[in-house]
Amino acid sequence: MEEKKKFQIKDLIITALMVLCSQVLYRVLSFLFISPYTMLLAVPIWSIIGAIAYFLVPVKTKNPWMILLFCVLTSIIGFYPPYIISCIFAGIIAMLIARIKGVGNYKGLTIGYMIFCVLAGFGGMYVPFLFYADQTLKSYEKMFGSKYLGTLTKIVSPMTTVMMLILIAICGLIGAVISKKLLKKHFEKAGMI
Amino acid sequence: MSKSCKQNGIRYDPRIKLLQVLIIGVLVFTLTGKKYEVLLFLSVFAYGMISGIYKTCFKFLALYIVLFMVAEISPLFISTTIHYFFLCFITLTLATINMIRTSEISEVLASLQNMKIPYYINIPLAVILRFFPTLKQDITCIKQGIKTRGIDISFLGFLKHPFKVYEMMLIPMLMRMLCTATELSASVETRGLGVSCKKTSYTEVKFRMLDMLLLVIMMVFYLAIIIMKIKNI
Amino acid sequence: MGDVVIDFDNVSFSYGTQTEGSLRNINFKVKEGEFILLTGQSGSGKTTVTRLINGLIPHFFEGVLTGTVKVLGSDIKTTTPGEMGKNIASIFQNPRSQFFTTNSTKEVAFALENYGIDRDEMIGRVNCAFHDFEAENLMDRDMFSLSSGEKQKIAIIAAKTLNPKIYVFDEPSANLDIHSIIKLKKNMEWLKKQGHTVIVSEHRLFYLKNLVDKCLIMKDGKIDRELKKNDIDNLNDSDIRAYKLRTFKLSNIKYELKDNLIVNKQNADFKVENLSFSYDVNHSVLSNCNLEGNFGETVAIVGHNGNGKTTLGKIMSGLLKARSGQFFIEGKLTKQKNLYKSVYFVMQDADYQLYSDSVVSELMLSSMNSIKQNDEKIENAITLLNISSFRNRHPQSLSGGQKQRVTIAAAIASNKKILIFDEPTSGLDYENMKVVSEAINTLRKKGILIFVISHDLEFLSRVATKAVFIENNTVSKRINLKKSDEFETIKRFLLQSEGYEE
Repeated sequence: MEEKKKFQIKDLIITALMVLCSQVLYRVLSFLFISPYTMLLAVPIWSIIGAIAYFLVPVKTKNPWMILLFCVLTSIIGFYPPYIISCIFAGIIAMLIARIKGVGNYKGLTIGYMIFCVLAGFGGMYVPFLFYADQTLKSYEKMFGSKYLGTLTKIVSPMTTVMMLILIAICGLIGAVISKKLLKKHFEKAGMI
Repeated sequence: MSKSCKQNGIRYDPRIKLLQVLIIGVLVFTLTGKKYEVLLFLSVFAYGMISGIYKTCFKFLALYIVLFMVAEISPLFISTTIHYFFLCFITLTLATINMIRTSEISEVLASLQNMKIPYYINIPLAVILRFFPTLKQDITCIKQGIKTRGIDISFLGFLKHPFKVYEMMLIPMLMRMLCTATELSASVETRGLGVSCKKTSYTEVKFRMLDMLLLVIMMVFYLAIIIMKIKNI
Repeated sequence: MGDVVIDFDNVSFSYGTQTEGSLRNINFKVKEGEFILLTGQSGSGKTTVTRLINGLIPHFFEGVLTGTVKVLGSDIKTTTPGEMGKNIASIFQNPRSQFFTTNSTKEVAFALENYGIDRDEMIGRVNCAFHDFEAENLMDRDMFSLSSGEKQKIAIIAAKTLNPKIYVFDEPSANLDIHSIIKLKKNMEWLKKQGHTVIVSEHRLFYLKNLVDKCLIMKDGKIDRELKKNDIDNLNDSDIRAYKLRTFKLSNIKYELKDNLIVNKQNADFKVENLSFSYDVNHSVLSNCNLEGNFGETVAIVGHNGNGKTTLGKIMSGLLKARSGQFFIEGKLTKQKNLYKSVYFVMQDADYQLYSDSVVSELMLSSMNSIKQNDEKIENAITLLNISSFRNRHPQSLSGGQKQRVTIAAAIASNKKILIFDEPTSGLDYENMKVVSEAINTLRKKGILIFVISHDLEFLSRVATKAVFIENNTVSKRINLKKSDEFETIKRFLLQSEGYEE
């Protein structure tokens, strides 16, 4: 009986365990959820420290579909519909980039990772923040009039949103550089890839 | 996860709990207004009580009431933070705890399989659920190993040499996971996981009358709240 | 004994660039119902042979394969491990990463689910398998609450449900204590009685002595010698030493330390008093333990299954907090939170204690907190444990035995005067065990106090100067070891309730 399965069990398990590692790293940052403002720091920091778990997936499995699987699994564990949608979208883009440029091409993987971080940050972190800010502003308007709360308005202005997302992208880039160093120093040297 | 899963309450299908988490996740941020918030929280509270996690539900209820009171008497800035941020997350957290703590992992996986979710989502989810406690134990062992080397990994120690501590914690964890992946895949492949044929299941997954009832009540309730909100605007 | 079920015809295999574990011109046949033992030094190719039998090579582990391997008539090159799995059951050495589910009954039913067995029949087979091994008490249990031995038993029960013709075991006793090993032996006896073909790849040979029909000793990828049942009975010590194997007869293990000075001091250098520990109110792990040791001694901590000994070791090194207890180092009362500064704990699993990218920097990590750079000490440690040839390699690329030696070298480089080793020889072959025991003896002569948690009698006969027995959650006996009969007490203690006969 020939195996018609498209994906190897080994690849699925490696991806699953890497998602688990990256989620554990995210939990370490859970103390940042104390206030809505510090919550915005969660994804940038996670992009730096969780990068290695992401990069190990394509490097070890050499299969671009696993990148999509990584993004899908990460999103499902978030249990938050906007986050799920944005991660899946990012996963598709990252997977396509890997397919086109080749799964061994580190630059392609980095771009995919940066897109993933930005979209994950947007869906999982920024969207709830936007809702919060929007409602806060509305209630202030009712009470005091719209010129109050200059800072908050500035934060949710399109300019700042874009800057936040660029910050996440830069953090993603830093994460990718750190992971490349770690991959070379440890995983290549140990013969694991 | 649900090691001591003494069923105090009534067992109902874990998919309903998952659905509740997803719906709450969206509604709690979009439907604003005190009465809606309270209604959403009460729905989660009710379903949690049915599951049997009485102590946790009451703890959350107490916390909710306290924060609500605080919001009433504090200046606008704090009260908006409380209402539009903390209370939302409290509701969401209670729903998630209800889901995670009261469903048996094998039940969850059996129901996922029943829903015809493809193997490439099913298997990784199963692995993640199964290895979560193992990974926690591994991290404890790694920390102990670092401590016995004489390297301080308390929070202060982390501030002194962050990159080093990060590397020391992370590398053994990742390498261990990669080794485990190889061993686990070898073990399951020799037990037929990769074989393409119709799979059967040991646990029977049936959607009973109770599950149907709870599902219908939940959907009707949330639809009613949404309609209320729309009509008010 | 009937038809040939496994046929290796001029088989050679290599895993790509590495030479370890490769095979050269293997030829042998296995008949139905035979019990075959594969043994030899680490890296001689035993595991590779088992992987060829269950089909993991070439489908799962890649490499270059020549020659033919036919199992039950099918060529493994064209049959996937999943297909082979219907008739061949594989049980691996690490219970931790073998099981897929979290519930013991589901785990046993796992293979049946994968092959699409009808539900009613599945339930029948599962119940039957549990019944055959008299393990009804293990049904419907949380896998995380089971001991290593119980997990291994579940793996065997799970294998039985498919009624396979061949059982392949890869170092099944590596993570088990003596109590569980004897239970494993009973399970294997049952399998043999039922007429199944069993292949076991092992270092520890004593529990298999009466079961083996044929023993294949491997060396450097070739079959060095084939022993039949009678030959095994007639093996003497010099033969075993020549092949560098572990012993077949526990009765042959005699106390080997000769230059043993018993240190008698008024105040012991390290003392533990009234130690108690429990995970929750109902479940006490240790209660009122008292033990002591002096510099220049090696104290063996022996006991039956359960995690009491590892917990004791971790508490003594300050890694776990005891509920109550006093600790004295050189007569001074030491707080629990400061214990880790004087006591070093070497874990059973080396993977948790290797952090660097080269062996040398691993050792330098230990001495990071010392005032002066201990280059000389590091070099001594490297020479002592014979790890010079891979000093610049990444620790994770080394074999099990090599990793274990590196962790021991790291312990030496830490400059602490009290060391605790948790099962340092589990899974090690004879040569590696010898290196470890010589290193420990050298350390002892230099005045280090060493505690060894072990059930490896061969190892203990070479290193222990004192022994402490853990029974019923407490320390039941403490003895000095000078003569052979005192050592026999340890043997008797470990084997006592098992009704073990040679």
